[in-house]
Amino acid sequence: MTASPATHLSADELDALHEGTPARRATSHLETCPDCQALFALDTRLISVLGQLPTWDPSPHLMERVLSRIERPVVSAGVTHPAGVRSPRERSARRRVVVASLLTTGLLTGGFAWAFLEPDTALGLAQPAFQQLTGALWTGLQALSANAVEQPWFSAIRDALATPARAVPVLMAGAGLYAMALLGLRRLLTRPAADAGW
Amino acid sequence: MLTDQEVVRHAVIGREAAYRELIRRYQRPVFSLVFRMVRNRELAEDLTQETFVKVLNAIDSYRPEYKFSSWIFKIANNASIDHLRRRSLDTLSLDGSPHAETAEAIEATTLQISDSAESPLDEVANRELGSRIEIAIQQLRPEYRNCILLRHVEGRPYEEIAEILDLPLGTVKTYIHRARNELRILLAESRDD
Repeated sequence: MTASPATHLSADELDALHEGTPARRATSHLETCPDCQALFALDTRLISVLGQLPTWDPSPHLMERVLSRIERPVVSAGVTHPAGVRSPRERSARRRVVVASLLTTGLLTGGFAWAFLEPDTALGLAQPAFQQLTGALWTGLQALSANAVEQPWFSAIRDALATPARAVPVLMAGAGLYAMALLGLRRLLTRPAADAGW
Repeated sequence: MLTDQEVVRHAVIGREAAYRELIRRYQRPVFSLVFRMVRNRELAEDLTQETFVKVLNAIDSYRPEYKFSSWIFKIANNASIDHLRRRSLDTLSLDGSPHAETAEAIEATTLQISDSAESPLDEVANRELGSRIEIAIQQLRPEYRNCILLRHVEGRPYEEIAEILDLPLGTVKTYIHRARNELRILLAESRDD
């Protein structure tokens, strides 16, 4: 005859059996109740498989990435590095930026020097290009202005800015709105500070 | 070997070797826990990195009367739960997420479960059961999932789990019992399919 459900092993008694610290009642009940024996066996297998589930390593670069983001002074081999010691990848990226900047500066300086030494040649090359560029810009500006003048809102804006007494408050309000929008955007993009306290 | 508290004392004064030792000791268990919670390798890497950065930047605030492992698992668990609350995730499959389109995305969402040190026959049998267990774990509620992982995969005692999750001891035991019940049911259902 199987024991009634009321006397089957409780969750805590099952736990104690798994921990190896069972009460006498639990041990003796387990010897006589096939339902609890089956449950205990299934639980034992489940716990065994859970304990054998694999664990995994993160990528080998994790350590360097973490160390590069530490915001405290780091002491290595007796030398204190300032906060935010950079990883090799960051140092290499900075090197590339420095080299590119130096190359660009060198090219610009060289270009100016050549133009100074050979003004006629430089002018002969630059003038047609410059005339075309300014012509295109001027044509574009004229087209935009002609278009804006024909818009229904143009006269309202012109009247609002007609006198300095009107223009100054309007422009200040515009600048204020722009500053508020920038601050709001900055707040949205800034991550909250780490809170690791107990 | 130095205890965690001794290594932390060296880390507090800024010794890089101490930082490296703490990362070396805990990167595997933290990453494994987070990976099983969020089910995406790349995301688990980011959250693991975030965990270690928070811990090491706030190493001054560590209280030695608590276990260091409790502290770091607490932060890792909070990071995982925060992420799960913000997003709904794909179910995990052994063949990668159904929404993964590139080879890298498939690999990031595929669960690798086999242990290459086993014999081929054992590997097949254990892989089958292990795969059912892994899929069953992913179907648990997050609060049950982190309790069962901390208890039976990481081997943490009930009291430490209560500390890590900021839950009463009774609640932790209840969650673990319910998680085991659900796993038994899910395993029985998947065997019948």
